[in-house]
Amino acid sequence: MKRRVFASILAVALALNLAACGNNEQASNDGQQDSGAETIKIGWYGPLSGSAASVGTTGNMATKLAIKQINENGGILGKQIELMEYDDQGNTETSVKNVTRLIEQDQVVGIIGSHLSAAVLATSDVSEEAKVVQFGTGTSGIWTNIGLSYTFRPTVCSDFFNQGCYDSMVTMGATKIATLSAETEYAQLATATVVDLIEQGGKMTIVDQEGYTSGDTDFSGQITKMLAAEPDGILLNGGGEDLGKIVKQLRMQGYEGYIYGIESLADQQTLELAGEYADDVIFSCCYFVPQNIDDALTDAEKDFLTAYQAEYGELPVSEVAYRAYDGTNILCQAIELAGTTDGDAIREAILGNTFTGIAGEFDFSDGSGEGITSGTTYVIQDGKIITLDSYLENK
Amino acid sequence: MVLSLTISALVIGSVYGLIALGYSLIYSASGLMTFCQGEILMFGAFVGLSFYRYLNWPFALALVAAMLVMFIIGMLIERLLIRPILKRQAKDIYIVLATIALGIVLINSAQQIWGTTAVQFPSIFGMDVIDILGTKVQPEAFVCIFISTFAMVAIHLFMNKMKFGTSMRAAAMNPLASRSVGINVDITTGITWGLSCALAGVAGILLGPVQGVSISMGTTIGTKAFAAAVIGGYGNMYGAIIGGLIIGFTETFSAAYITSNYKDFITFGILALCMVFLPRGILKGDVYDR
Repeated sequence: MKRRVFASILAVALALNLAACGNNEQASNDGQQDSGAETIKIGWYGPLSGSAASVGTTGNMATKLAIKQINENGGILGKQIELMEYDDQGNTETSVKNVTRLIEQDQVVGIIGSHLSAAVLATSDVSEEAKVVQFGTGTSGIWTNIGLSYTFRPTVCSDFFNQGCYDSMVTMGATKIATLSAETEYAQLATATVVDLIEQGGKMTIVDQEGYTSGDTDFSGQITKMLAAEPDGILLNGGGEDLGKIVKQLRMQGYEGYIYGIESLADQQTLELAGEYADDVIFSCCYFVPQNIDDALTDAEKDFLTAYQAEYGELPVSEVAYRAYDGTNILCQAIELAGTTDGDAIREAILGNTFTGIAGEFDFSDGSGEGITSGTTYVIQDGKIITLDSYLENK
Repeated sequence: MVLSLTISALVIGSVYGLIALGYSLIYSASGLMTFCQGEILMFGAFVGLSFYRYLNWPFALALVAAMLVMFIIGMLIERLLIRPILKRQAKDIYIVLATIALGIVLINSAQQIWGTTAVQFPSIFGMDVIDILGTKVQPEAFVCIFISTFAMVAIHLFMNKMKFGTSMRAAAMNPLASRSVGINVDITTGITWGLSCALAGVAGILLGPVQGVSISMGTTIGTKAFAAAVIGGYGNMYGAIIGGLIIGFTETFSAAYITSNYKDFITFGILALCMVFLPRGILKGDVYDR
């Protein structure tokens, strides 16, 4: 009897599943969302598990917050927004599957992409072909200025930070630089850019270049070799959690000089893990999450942090939350301005208008995918982040 | 440079050895394989962190308390997960699968309790460093080496010189015969799992001050410690220690002198070679046919 009941349930479930598949296939052939749909679907993909989970999660939470705020204000085009979200575990192959599913099965009208640039680059083939706008939240320069039409960045490209990083080395009078970089596309590109600038500048020499695998825990071999080359500056590029461990281990092995980098060093994970060892870390970035809301640099940042803390009871662990929040708001504003969920119309609205976010004024009109091109250099002193300018004034 | 590398290799190698000891302990005392020592290490690190940082207990007290908690967790794992599977006469592969599932449960549990954010494990001795022949070393390094060595010697003496340890090994070799001479196989197996979890927990707490604590901290370390156990001779206590030191020295020196990008490739390459040419490991670990 039990077997019959089980078999019946299984048969019904199978039938429902097949019916659902049939509907999805039909829907994917229709292309964009039916104007009669009750909600407007927006997609999100990124790491919610794996080594990049904490940063991915904060981006996801910021996207949800933006959507909640927009829905409370009446939604867009008179409809509520529904978020479709998928965990890619930081795996690029899974990202591509997720975006394919978001477009073909869920029929989203726009996507907020991963903070891992390799995932944005890999998925752009799918979203570009479907003419679905994607705001990738990674900062590597690998996916802009390459002819993509529907892929945009709601923050500053790390190329601008790399220039700022090099300038800070010059300002601090560095002469011998060692580098330690993760194996990721983002870290490798960022380090190569700064190394090129150093070689072109002629004022400094690269005394050692080391690498590590993301998620590694012991860097003593690389650090010992770097310190043997007696550098007066060390450039770090990689994920925030890794960099926190590296900064701490560098200091524990006796390195007392300046440590340089870009926005990953602004990550709360870096500051948390490095703790009291984080002093004299210099980084160039667009923004960073302060330890207290009152330390926010702009009203827009303060408003966001206040709302985020009210919603989740904590501050974001990474400024990736800022990127995702700005990206979601720009996408929704563009849909409203376009007056339709058609991909081409949304793209035109993004190119033809300016948008204000936490990062500042966005202008995507040049078609490169970049909307904002300014960064600032900061230094950590006594556990607090201050601008390099004010650090030099007080020194 | 060589001195600095040697100290670093001893620190990380002794931690690998400590975890590998847990793998070997379970195998030598129950004939079973586990694949969740890395996750247990992570869980132990969070438990230790809670005592040390959040409750402000002295480090030694936090260490002992965390060991005790992890020992109890190990006993519970055996009682609630392993024993029911064994009672059903399931094949060993199901124990392996169960421990893999348990690893995922531990990660998600830690995520729910402590969150996804990596957190700092405060340094035990502040920012003080010891200067040895011009090489600056953190006091934590010596604590790590000392506690690891102490744990290894204690486990060795327990397993080889004490009656209960002998009972545990006997229970692994032939549970039926052991029962017939009055050995409580269930208890010995439970204590084995408890000890194994306590060892992994200690390793997590020792790594905390250097690497911080996060839900992903045990994944790579657990895999490398497993490799250490296999290289040394799976199930052999000395083999676990030797394997741990081999992995520690290989990855530290290869990162410094050969390539830092492919140090894991070299480490696991040695494991592959070992499995081909020395399938029972350097000290020829016991292979039980249960």
